[in-house]
Formats: sequence, C-alpha cells, structure tokens
Amino acid sequence: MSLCRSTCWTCSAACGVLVTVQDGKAVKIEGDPEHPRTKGTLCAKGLASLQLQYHPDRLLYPMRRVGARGQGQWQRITWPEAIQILAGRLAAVRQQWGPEAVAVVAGGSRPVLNYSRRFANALGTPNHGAASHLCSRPSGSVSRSIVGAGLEYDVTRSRCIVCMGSNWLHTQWAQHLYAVEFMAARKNGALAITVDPRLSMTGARSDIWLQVRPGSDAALLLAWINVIIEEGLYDRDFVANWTTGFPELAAHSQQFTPEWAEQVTWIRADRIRETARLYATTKPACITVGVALEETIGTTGALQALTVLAAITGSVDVDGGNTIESGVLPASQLSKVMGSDLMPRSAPVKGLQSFPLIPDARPGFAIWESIVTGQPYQVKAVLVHGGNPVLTNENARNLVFKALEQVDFLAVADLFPTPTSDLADLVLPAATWLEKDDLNYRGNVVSASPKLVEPQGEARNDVDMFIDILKAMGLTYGANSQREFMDWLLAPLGKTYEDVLAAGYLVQPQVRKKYEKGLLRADGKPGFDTPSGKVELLCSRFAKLGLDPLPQYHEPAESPYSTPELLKQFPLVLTDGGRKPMYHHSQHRQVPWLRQLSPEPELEINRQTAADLGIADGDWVWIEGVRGRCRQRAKLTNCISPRVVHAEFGWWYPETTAPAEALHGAWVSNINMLTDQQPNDKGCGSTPVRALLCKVYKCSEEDLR
Amino acid sequence: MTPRISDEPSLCIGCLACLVACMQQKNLAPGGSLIKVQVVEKPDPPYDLLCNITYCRHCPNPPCLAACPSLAIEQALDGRVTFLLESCTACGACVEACPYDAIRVSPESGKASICDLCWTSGEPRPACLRHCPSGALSLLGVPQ
Repeated sequence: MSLCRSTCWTCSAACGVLVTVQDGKAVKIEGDPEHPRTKGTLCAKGLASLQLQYHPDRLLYPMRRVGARGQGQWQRITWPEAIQILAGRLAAVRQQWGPEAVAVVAGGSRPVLNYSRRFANALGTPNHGAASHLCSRPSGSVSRSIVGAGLEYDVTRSRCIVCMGSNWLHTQWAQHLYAVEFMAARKNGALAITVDPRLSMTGARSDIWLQVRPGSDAALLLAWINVIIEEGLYDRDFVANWTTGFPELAAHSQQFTPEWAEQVTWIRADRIRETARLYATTKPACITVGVALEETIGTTGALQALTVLAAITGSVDVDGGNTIESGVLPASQLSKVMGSDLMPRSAPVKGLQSFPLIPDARPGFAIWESIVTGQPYQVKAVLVHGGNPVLTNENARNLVFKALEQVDFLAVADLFPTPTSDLADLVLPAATWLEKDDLNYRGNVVSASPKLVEPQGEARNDVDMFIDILKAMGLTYGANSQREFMDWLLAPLGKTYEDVLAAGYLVQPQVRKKYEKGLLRADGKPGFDTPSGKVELLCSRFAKLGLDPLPQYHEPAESPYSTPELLKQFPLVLTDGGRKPMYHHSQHRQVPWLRQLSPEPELEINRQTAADLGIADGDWVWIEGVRGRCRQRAKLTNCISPRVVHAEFGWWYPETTAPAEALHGAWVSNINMLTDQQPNDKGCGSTPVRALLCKVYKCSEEDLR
Repeated sequence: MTPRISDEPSLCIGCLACLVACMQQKNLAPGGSLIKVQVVEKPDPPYDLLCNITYCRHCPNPPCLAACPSLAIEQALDGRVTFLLESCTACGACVEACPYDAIRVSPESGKASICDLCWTSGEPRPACLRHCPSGALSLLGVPQ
C-alpha cells in the first residue's frame, strides 16, 4: 500500500491530494495538508473521484460508428485502427479543403485545453473552439488593455471582498481554493458584499447581498464609480500618479447616478450609495469576478467598469486587492505550450470569426455556424476533446446539434459516453488524471499528477494520442511522448517533471506594488505595461480597436426594457448556470455519491410567482423561451425576485433507458436549448446566456410519460 | 470530556464535502453518510440560508446502545460509543433509536455503520472534518 501525492483534475481547480494505492488500485483520495492553498481540504467532486475512476460506464475502447449517426451502434476497434481512421480523415480534409476545415473543440480548462490547442496549431488550423468568449478570457483581456495585466484577487488579506457574477463558495472550478480563503478572511473580520440575482450560499455568508437584475451588474458598477468620484472617495495619490483619463472618466460617469442604476438593476439607490462607500473606504478591497459577468452582451463594459473601480480606489497590485500575479512559468512559454512555436500567429490561414479582444481564439459557436451555413467556409471535420457542447454551448438544439448531425466527420475523446459522443463517427477513450502523468502549471503553483494506476480498458493519455495522430499524418507535436513534452514545458525553469514530482509544490512568491518597482514593463521602468505606462481609465487600446474607451452599460438583448413586447408572452426574466458544488459543468451526473446529493435539475422560482402559476414545490415545469423549452423541477424559494427564475445548466441523464437517438436525455432539461449565440459583446464575443425572457408552466402528466 | 464532533452552522457553506468524505472513508452507499447537512431557507426576511448539520454526538446515555439487542454497541471509558462489527445482526434497532440519523445499515455488508471518529482507520481526525473548507466542524475532547 502506498500513499502518493497528486493533483486532482476531477474539476479544473488543481487541488492537492493524497491517493492511497493498493495492489495497483486507487482505494482512497483525500486532501493534501501540504498544499499551499487547499491545506488538506477537498471538495465533494474530488472526494468522489474513485467512483468516477472505476465507473462501469467509462469508455474503455476506441469505437467506430456502424449504424446511422446517433443510433448508438458501435464496433470496437484497436487504437492503431482508430489513429489510422482519424489521421486519414483529417489528412484528406486538409488536402481537399485546407487545414482550416479541421476544427478542434475543447471543454473546461484543465491542462489538456492547452494541449488540444497545440494539437490544432500542429495541424495548421486556427479553428480551436472553446468557451474563451465567456469564461475568464474576457476579464483577463479587458484588464490587460487597461492595466496591462490580468487581475486576480488576494481574498486572504482583503478587508472587503465583493463577489460579482458567481456563487464564490460553490464556484465549481475552484471551489475549495476559494472557499478556504473566503471563510478564513471572514473569520479575520473582512467585510463581504455579494451581488447576485438570488441568495446563494455566498450571499448568505456575506454581510450584504445586493439582489441585482440578471445581466445588469455593469450598471451597479458604473453607479459605484459615480458615487466614488462624486463623493471624492477615490485614491487621489494613485489616480494622480498612476492613471490617465480620470477627467474624462469623471465627466462620463456623471450620467450613471444611483437613481439611474436603481431603475436598471432593481437595487435601491441608497443601497448602491452605501455599498459604494463601503467598498471605497474599507481597504484593502478586492472584487472577484465570476462568469456571469462574462456572459452578457455588455461583458466588455462590465469588466471595464470593474477594472476602473479597482484602479481608482488604489486596489490594483496591492495585498488584499485585485492583484497582478506572477506565474511560475513565463508567459512566453505558456504561449509556446499552446503551439506558437508550431504555427506563428501570422500564419496565412484565415480563422473563423473571432473578436477584437480575444483575436486568437474561436468561440465554439463560430465552428457550429460554419458547418451549418458554410460561411465563410465550411468546417468538415471536428475533434471534440473533453467537451460536451450539446449541453454546454449556446443554442444547443438549433445550432450545435444541427452542426454535429451534418458535419462530415466527428471524433470525440472523453471519459464517458455523452450526448456529444453519441453523435460521433469515432469515439476515443481518454485516461483520467489517475491514469496519466500530467502537470498543473497555471498561476503561481506548479504541481504534478503522476500516473498512479493503469488505465481502465484501453483508455489513453491525450497527448500521446495527439502525438500519434500527427505522426501518422507526417506532422509533429514537437515531442515524442507526454513525459518529453512536460520536460520541455518546464525547461525555462531549469526543472524536469521528475523535479516537480520530488518537490511537491513549486510556489512563486509574489511581490506587490510592482508598478513602483519597475517589475511590470519589459523596459524595466516603473509603471504599468500599457502604451502610456499608466492605468488607462480612458483606454487607448479600446479606442484603437473601435471599442468604447470608457465603460458603458448595455441592456440585455432580451429583457423587460429592450423587448417589452416579448415580455407579454414571456413574462419572467430567466437566468441560469448557477453552480452546484457536486458537479463540474455537464459532468459527474453518473457518479452515484454526487448524483444522490442533487438528483434532478431545479428551477428556482419565487413562492408568490409559483402560487400565481399553480406550481407546487417539486413539480416538473416547462421553462419556455423564444427558441425552445426544457423541463426542470420547481424549487420554491423566497431567495429570488418574483420577476426572475433561475434554471440549472448542464443536465442530461446518463442512466436513461430511452432509445439512442434521445442522446442520453440531452433534450429534457438542457437550458441551452433556450440560449442563443447572438448577439455578441463587441469586444469579446460573449453571448447573452445569463439574462433572457421565459415563461414557466406545469408539465402535464402526458409530458412526463 | 467525551470526544466528539462539534459544529458551527453559521460557518457551514453547504458544500457537502463532509458527506462524500464520510461515504468514501466508510465505503457507504450514496446518501448513506453518517454526517448530514441540510440547507434550509429562513422563512422570514431578511432571508438567509441555514445549515442543519447532524452527526453522532456520542451521547452520554446512548439510545443506540440501549436499543441494540445483540450487544454490538458499547461505550468506551472516555464516553465514546464503540461498535463490535462481529456482533451486529443488522436488525436496524440502533438506526431507529438514533435521534441524529447518524447510523446506517448497509444492505451489502449486512452490518451497521456507526461513527467512530475515523479512529479505527488510524486517522487522527475524522474525514468529514479534515475536508471541511470553512472551519464549520471541530473536534471536542481530544488534545490538539
């Protein structure tokens, strides 16, 4: 029996774990007390990893479709056969239509996201599709334009924590990292303000809950800017010495009065004033950003407002504020990991639609639109790698499904059969984190997750699969094995994978106020890494790109104010995608320990609204919008506005006995049947998935049969 | 003082990690954790989410012990409830008697599962408590 240190990848938080291995089998997975952030704790998902690892439904062998697409008839094949089919199809498409007719689509942000990006670059295609338009890339890109760097949060040392756009304590991708730090800060007396349409656990554990109308967060932030400037609560020294554009911002923000914001956000003006003062005067303060802010058509403006707030209160690059973190790996190496060495950005191949602030990445929907419309050209072959777009992408039925149904060739690599793999021509079994060597190299901690057990069936390491496909096509991944690749990845640190394994955790110590010390700019001068060397409240990069240089508010495309005529038919504001602590996106519904904790999707609806509609707690209800409907169980609550409902996201039914073409219940509770890939935020391409209109009504008995 | 878990519900974040930690440690069926967290809404404004955490209290006069017809439950000198696996007939009397819903009978093993603070597994602190991110759980009656 041995106790092995590793890094959990059951979600993408990369928490430290200790795995007990007995006779070649993992028998226990627990938190590692030596992990610098999680300190021995571990979330429900990580603790249930054994049931995922040894689940009877795991994909075990490569399989080829034999019947019609989506009919669930498969033939087991060998890995060499699978590689041959894949390499043959991709090579044929490349030759006939050009490399850009191949798309690689990825799921959540584990390290493999970068590895598949590298694979796409090695194939010569710019069409790597992911959720970059609505998950973390927008906030990084916006703050990079204004401050010259991505902003993180030093929650631990903060005296005032503002949680925007997420249920911070349950946020699925870093739950225990965040929860440990938030609760520790609270015990030390930090003030917490949570902005959320519903009372989440984070709101409940905060001093103040601001019940914002879905999609209107930016208006609150703009009104805070208004109050802070109007009342002179900004950091005069920082503004005078380290920013440009303050007079323009001050003039611009006059229009965003708390009284204006009250009409927009449904938060009382006096509450907006009170919280603006608290945020500006309780130092140090940090604002945390969740994806709800990145999933509107006004994403750029919202994040601009947030970045500007952090700057004018002097909260940038300070302990307890919105920090600029130095990663362990240099940024240039991270870009190489994604394949910049294989295909420079100036490569002549024209990519599908992208947006000015995230020019290097394609939103998933650009690939689906290309397949369905043939414009500007048609993607012919797709490899979906660790993703489930049928559940997780916008406009699931009318766009994603249509595209997957008609694409010439679809291969899917995953741990389990999914509604997406149900539509594939070729299914490839992927290895879990317990079955392969991997690295966590993001942020300020580097750690290893070594191969501890043999793969189930013929499940394989993703990178080795990429290497084999490329070799068969006469191309290269730049390494001959995952091990070799990881050593190359770590080379700038003068370390090897074995060194990281031996060290446990490599932690990058952080220096604050780097702007005073000349640590942010390539020229070594004090200041920020922007054209002016200052925080650009009036953003020159935005002006150059044709975007608003000052933060603006954009009303959601579907709302009581922008589409009042639609409100007659669809009288409720629909928000969705709030996280639950036992699931990661569309994953883990087949893990018994986790599923029992949340067996069915719930629609949160106000008690009064439900009473008016004749809906009782636990009733199955239809949630219907302009583009379609799905059903979830009504959960009656007082913790949401009578004008708003909240639906869960990512739901399918792995256990279903329905015929194969029902795609494991993909069309039962899938809220992305109601969302749309348009219109988009001008800067980031973000889609309006968090604020829509809907109606809710009880399912009939016939519906449920 | 009898060793036992204690909880501070205002610190609980309802993440349910303790439940899964317990199920893994004790190899329990889904839903069978010996610790339970129920998140309930405060019915009147200002609204709040309250966590009810239930687990074995190692009661001074354990009702489970009194109810067990096969002498499988005993009390150690320090007051802890202890369990003799071999004597258990899985009759379920202890499950009925426990006011904290903290005992399960596993249909697979044909035995009861009772909280022993994970001591029989050689762990210094119980799995539920070790994985709690918020400090909602603590251990009483044990020198730290």
